[in-house]
Formats: sequence, structure tokens, C-alpha cells
Amino acid sequence: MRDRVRTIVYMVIVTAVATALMTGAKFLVEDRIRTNERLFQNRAELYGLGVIPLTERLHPAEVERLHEARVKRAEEDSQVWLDAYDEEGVAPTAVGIEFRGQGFWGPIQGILSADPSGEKIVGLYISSHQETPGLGGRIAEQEFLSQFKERPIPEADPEGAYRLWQPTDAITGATRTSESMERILNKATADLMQRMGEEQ
Amino acid sequence: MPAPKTNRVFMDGVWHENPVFRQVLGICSTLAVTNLLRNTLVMVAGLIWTAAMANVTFSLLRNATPRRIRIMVQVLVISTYVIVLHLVLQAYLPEISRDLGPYVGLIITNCILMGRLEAFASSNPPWPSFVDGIGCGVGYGFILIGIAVVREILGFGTVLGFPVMGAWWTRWTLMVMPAGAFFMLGVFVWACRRIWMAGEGKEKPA
Amino acid sequence: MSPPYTPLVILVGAAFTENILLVNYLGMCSFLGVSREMKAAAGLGAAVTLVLSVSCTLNYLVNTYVLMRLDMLHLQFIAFMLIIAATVQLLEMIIERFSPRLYYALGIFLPLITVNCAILGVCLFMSIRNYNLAQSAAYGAGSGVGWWLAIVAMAGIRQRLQTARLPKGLDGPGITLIIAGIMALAFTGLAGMLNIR
Repeated sequence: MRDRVRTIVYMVIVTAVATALMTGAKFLVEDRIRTNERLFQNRAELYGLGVIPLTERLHPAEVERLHEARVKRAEEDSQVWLDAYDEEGVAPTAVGIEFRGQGFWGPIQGILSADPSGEKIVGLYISSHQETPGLGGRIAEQEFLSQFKERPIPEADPEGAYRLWQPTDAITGATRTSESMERILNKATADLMQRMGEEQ
Repeated sequence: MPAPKTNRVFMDGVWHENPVFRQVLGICSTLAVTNLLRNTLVMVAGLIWTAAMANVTFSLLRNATPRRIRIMVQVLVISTYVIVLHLVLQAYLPEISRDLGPYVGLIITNCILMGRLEAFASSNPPWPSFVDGIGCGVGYGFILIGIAVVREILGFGTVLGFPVMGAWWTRWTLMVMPAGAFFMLGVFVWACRRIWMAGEGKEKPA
Repeated sequence: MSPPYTPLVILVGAAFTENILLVNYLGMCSFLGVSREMKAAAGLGAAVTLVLSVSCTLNYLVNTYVLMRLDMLHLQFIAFMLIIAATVQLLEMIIERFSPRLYYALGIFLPLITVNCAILGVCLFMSIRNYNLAQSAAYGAGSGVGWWLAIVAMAGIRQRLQTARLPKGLDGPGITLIIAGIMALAFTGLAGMLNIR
């Protein structure tokens, strides 16, 4: 009986100490983790809206300043809309959408944006995916993303679909991922154009 | 039993009782993270930290812990250090933390840690336990780094992200996928065992 | 937001197109250790499937109704491990009561299921992918079936290998890993047929 009690007491003490240590560690780094998350999100939006080129790696303070001055984020029915403005924060430079779709291995999330007149794409960024590194994973690479910049948005076809994706955009060896990206990007373009149409 | 000599303990962990090719422990992570050298280095550092700290801690508790809950206490000790590591990674190396995903948490079930706590730290003083943790971590580490270098070069043509193969190189993408991981590890285990067998001059048990 | 897959798709997907052992590398240690002999492999596979199904479901409940509600997600690993340990302990008691033969056959490997990385790994994936209750149960069960399949297939192959002459040093983990690689190659062909992420 004494043995049982001792065992339980020991277990409780060790668990309590362990929990205390972990909770303590969590409190210490919580803010930093939140800052990191926000930094990642802000940076993604700056890339996706074409505010900074994909090759540029900005200092966190710069990211914060730029994002604060030039990006506005709005959420409507779990859909995120982004607007970019010039340095003074007055004239719009891009209208963007946060898109999410099913890739080959998992969800693909990113940001697509067009210029305010809806004529061409000004930015594309993939913020998360689970595709095969080196193959489908190349959708997150600068080489793939930059081919969409400055691309004119085609007219909608009779069904209302926008064919932004070109056959040459496909990644060799990543057929399924490419098919998914075609679907995802065309839909994102359609959603974006619809919203821009509504604005006017 | 007199405490084992530090040198011997360390070398056992690194080679003679190498966790990967001798004890066949820690295989899951060996396969999962070795497609990129960068992730491997972080995993190895994480494991050395956890192995050393968990070994010391459990060694200090070894006489007070009732036998029945030994395993639970081991799990708690390991979990605490891994969670702290995970939090530190999320805070200070967020991109790597993103890439490593659930595999950091899986350090908890890395059999090397449980195996050493049970086989060594539960019956040895703190200092040799600490050295054993580091030794096993290093032994695990050099095998992983070896595999990762090969897989990354063949699979991506890079080392730590820097291209080392010219444009003529066609990537062996299979190396980056599960089958490649299994093959590489199998070959490495084979090679190490051969070398080890030659060194010991006796038949090793399968 | 839970992904839009029916539990049945997840069950089959977890067993085949995303086999936790051959694709996600989980549960390797006991796989390498126990796959020599068919009876032990089949028994362990069944035990792992049971533990996976039960603990994945329980961990979903704990994760959703306790950890998330009380903002204690940083304790996720520990909570999951405690549930898994309790499940294994319970299973051990049940097996000992109803089938002492199986209990002795499994021996030390039964309590070692607790630290089988496949169990914790499956639970973590379940949490990351935001599966709902039915999906979690299906994912646990499917992953178990997949692991069971892999270890039984390996045991069958290794039993045949006993009469083969292998180069020195390759016997044991070396050849098992290479065979696993070939099996993984075969399973790669199934990739993408069913999406469960």
C-alpha cells in the first residue's frame, strides 16, 4: 500500500516538474514565435503582391515597415483579400487574393495578385505546400514563380474560366503537381477577377 | 560495478556499439531527414542534446524511480527536453522548424533515447551517462551526415543548398524519395558492418 | 478546417498510398527487429493496429476538447504519449487475460509498442491535418493495417531468405532495408491515387 502511494506521488511530482519546465519554456519564447509567424506571413504578402522581388531577402524591421505602410488585409467569409499601395499608402499598386487548393501530396497555399486595372499578374508566391522536394516542390522556387510576373491575364472563356496557366509552365517530372497548380491558379485568377469586377 | 572509463564509453557510442548499424536504433529519423544536409545537422544536434541531457537526468533519478513506472518517467524526461528543443527551434530557427515538421516531436520516440536510458543510464552514474549520450549521438550523427551528403548530392546536386554538381548533372530524384533512403541506409549499414567485422575479427550476430 | 475526405478513403489511403512505414518511415525499429518470423510479425502487426486505432481516436478527443480549449498545445507530445502508454497498458492487460499464448509470444515487444514512433507519428499527423473524429479513427486504423501489411510481407520475404547466401555484413538490417527500399519503390507507384492530406 505504501509502495503504491509512493509510486503515485513520485509520478505526480515528476509530471508536475516536467510540465512546469515546459510551460516555463513556452512563456519565454511565445512572443518570439508569434513574431516569427507574423514575419513569415507579412513577407509572403509582400512577395505575393509584388511589392518586393522574390530575390530580395529583407531584414525583419524592413518587412514590418513596408507591410505596415503598403499592405492592407481584409477577411470576408474565410477568404483573404489583399491590397497593395504605393509608398505614400495612397495609390493602389496591386489587388491580391490568398488562395488554397489541393496539390498532389497536400494543400498548396499562396498569394496571387494583379495590377489594379486587372490586365496583368504582378505577383505570385507559394507560402506552403507538401510536394516532393526537387520536383513538385519547385513551385515554390523563384524560377517557377517569376514566369507569371507581368503575364497578361487572358479574357474569360465562354464558361467564365480564366486560362492563366500555359502548357509551358508545367514542371518536368511533376505532372500531377503541375495539373494541380493549373487548376489552383486558374481558379484563383477567376476569383480575383470576379472580385475586381464587383469592386467596379 | 566500477564506473566505466569515459573514453571507452564514448567510443562505444560512436563505433563499437553504434546505435544505427550495430544496435539498429533510430532508423526512422535517419531515413526521414537525410534528404537534405541542413535538416540532418539540426536533427543530429537535437539528438545529441536530448540524449546527453536525458541520460544525465534519468541517471540522477535512477535510484529514486520505482520500477513499475520506469518507462513512463523515461518518456516524461525525454519529452520535456524535446519540447524545449522544439520551442527553441520555432523561436530561433523558424524556417528549419517549418521544414522538419513533426519529425522534431518524433525525437521522443527515437529508440536511441529510450534504448540508452534503459540500457545505460538506469544503471550508471551521471557523468558516464552524459558521455554515453554524447557518444551515441555522435555515432548516430556521422552516419546520418554521411548518408545526407550522398543523398543531397545525388538527389539535388547541392550540399547545404550550394550547387556542387554542374548543369550537366541529371538529378537522381529517387534518392530524395523513400526508396532511395532505404537503399542508402542499407548500403551504409552493410559497409559499416563489414568494416566493423574486419576490425573485431569475429562473426557478428545478425 | 478538416480536409474533405471520407473516412473510408482515408483508411485505404493510409494503408496503401501513404503507407506509414514505406512512405513516412515510421515504426522502423520494431519492423527491422520483428520481421524475421511470420507469427511474431503478424501478432505484432495486429497489436499495433489495435493500439493505433484506439489511441489515435482518444488523442483526437484529448487534443480537441482539452489541449486546444485550454491553450495547452505545447504539451501535446506528453499528453499523446501518456494516452498511448495507457492504451498499451490496457491492451497488455486484455491480451494477458484473454490469450496468454499471444501474450507470451509477443513478450517484450508489447510494452515496446509505446515507444514505437509510428504511434506518436500517426497521432501527430492526425493533429496537423485537422482530421475530425471519424477521419482520425480511420487514419489510425488504416495506418495500422498498412504497417501490418508491410511487416507481414517482409517476414514472408525474410523467411525465404533464410536459405539464401548473403554477402558478409548484409545479413540482418542491411538486407532488410534494401528489401524495404524495393517495397517502397513498388508503393511509390500507388502514390497520388488517393489523396488523404
